[in-house]
Amino acid sequence: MAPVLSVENVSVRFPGARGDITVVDDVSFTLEAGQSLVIAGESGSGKSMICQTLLGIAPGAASVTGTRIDWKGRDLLRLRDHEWQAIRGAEIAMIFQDPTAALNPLITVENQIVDAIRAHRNVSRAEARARAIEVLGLAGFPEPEHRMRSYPSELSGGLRQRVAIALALSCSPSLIIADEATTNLDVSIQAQIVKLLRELKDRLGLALIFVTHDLGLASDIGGDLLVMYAGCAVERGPVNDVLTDPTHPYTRGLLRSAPTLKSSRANPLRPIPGQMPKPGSVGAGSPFGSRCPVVVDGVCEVQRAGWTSAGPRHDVACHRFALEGREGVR
Amino acid sequence: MSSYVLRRLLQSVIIVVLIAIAVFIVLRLSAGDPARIRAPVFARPDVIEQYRRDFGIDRPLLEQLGSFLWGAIRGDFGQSFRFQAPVMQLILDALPRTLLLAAVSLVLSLVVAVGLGSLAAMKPRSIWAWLSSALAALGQSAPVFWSGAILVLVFAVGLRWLPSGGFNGPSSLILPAIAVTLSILPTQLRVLRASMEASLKEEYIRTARAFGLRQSRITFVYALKNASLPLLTVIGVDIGYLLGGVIVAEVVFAYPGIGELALVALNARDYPLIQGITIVTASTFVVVNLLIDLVYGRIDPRIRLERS
Repeated sequence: MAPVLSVENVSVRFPGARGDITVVDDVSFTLEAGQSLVIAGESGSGKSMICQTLLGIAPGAASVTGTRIDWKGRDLLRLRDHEWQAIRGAEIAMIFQDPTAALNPLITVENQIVDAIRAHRNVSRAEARARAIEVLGLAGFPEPEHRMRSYPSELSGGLRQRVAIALALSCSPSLIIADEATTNLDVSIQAQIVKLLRELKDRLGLALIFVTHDLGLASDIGGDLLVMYAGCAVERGPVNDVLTDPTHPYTRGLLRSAPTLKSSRANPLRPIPGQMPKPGSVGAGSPFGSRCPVVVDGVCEVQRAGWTSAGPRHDVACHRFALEGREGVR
Repeated sequence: MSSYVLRRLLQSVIIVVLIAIAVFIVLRLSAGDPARIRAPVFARPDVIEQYRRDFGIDRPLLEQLGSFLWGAIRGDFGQSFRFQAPVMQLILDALPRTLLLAAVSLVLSLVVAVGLGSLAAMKPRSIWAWLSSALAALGQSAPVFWSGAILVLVFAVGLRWLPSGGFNGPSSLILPAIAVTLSILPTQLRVLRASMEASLKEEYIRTARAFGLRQSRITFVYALKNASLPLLTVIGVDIGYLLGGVIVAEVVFAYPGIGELALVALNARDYPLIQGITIVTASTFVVVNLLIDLVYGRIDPRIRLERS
């Protein structure tokens, strides 16, 4: 099946005092209709910037370059404003990290959804309202007929995120991007929202990009996983393959530093030493080189690793792995 | 009506009563005797005394205060010393013209502030931003008596397009309205531009953009609604200024409104008229600000929540 979205060699740079600062560095991935992709990485890894690029809402100072972002045969890198407008919300919709900040505090839930619908569909208010009730219902928002007249400030955080999901569903897009959509929620609500997103994806045949810093959530979403570090993609493959057989030293470090039920004194958390390099300070070498336990001296400092296959559809960008295979990164 | 509104109404009444008492006392303390001003220059003492009796200012102060307050409650501010007519009648004649000038100026100023301020906030390096700063600086630095005189000089005396003063139909409204607008515009423009800039940076604006809303709707509904709250406060202050303080503009343009009436009343030490004007403008100011507080609650549900 042909991918619905194909991102080819996309970079995002910001002008800095001493030259451009690269926050997304030559990232590529593809996504098929109805499939899901988890983009995982720490804050500053460039994962949110990638998402904003897919909607053309990166900050004005950002310069986005690349070979092509193919969306259903169109190139998103070369769209005019009015063409973007027709895609935003209608074909690709986004759920933002913080529903409190992302929803307008002075406009009712109903009107925000109705506005989003009427930005794309030539329907009456009543029809848009009926659709708003429908999508709020899909998003698990209780008693939508009455409660959609509320303002966001009158709702709990979990309900606000359900409103944001309903907003994303309102024009039946074929791709939903959830940018850290569960990060600001309580753990129990987080699980509900992840489950809801997975169900909606299956039921409505949506493609889903789920951005998170929590690899634990990746397996709940399923599909493919793209691990990002300092603006670069370092490992990609089916979620379960990557999580059970992490190959890049960064992915391995990230998994070891996350608490699990098996964590114990005998099996302690091992944080990755050092810090992520500041944006713009990664040179031509491997972005993880400065912290890597298995760095290849004389190679990783000067040259970025290309993709090496680590299994079916599972690739890793690591010199050590390319040289010595699995044994080398253990 | 909520208990909040009742509480605020009660507060307003107390404020107006205090203002009434204050203006009564201050007038009696200030120099100048209305009877002497009213009487011919070399009038005999008994003539002046007669005026005092006519005006009722020979009575004990407390008695005067009592009858003034009692009258005011019934909407009767007494007879004007200067015009020998009921104060209420004089105010009702002049007030509509001032309200008209105030309303036209306020609307004009709001349209420019919102339009130009929003454009300037959206495009900080455009000609609009420059124009907005220039207009704000001009309005702020040019006092009404100066800008009014310049307007008269150019458009009435020089070009002869518009009347220089008086009140004969809509054309006599144009110059005073521009002068008054120029004086209230700077604050509105600055406040709106700043709050609009802040509002446009909010995440909900990015959301609106991410859902394909038109830029006009984003700016003038999604951002403006949030940016309008500080502007509303400024409008409240402006309305007070417009009702009492357009004196200068009314004098420059010989515009027969409350301001001009107030000036005449002050010069004549016309106690009842000054008291009447003060109470009417003060009440209007208090009521308008109460209304603005209520509008706040209508626009921002979070304020409503705090009050209940």
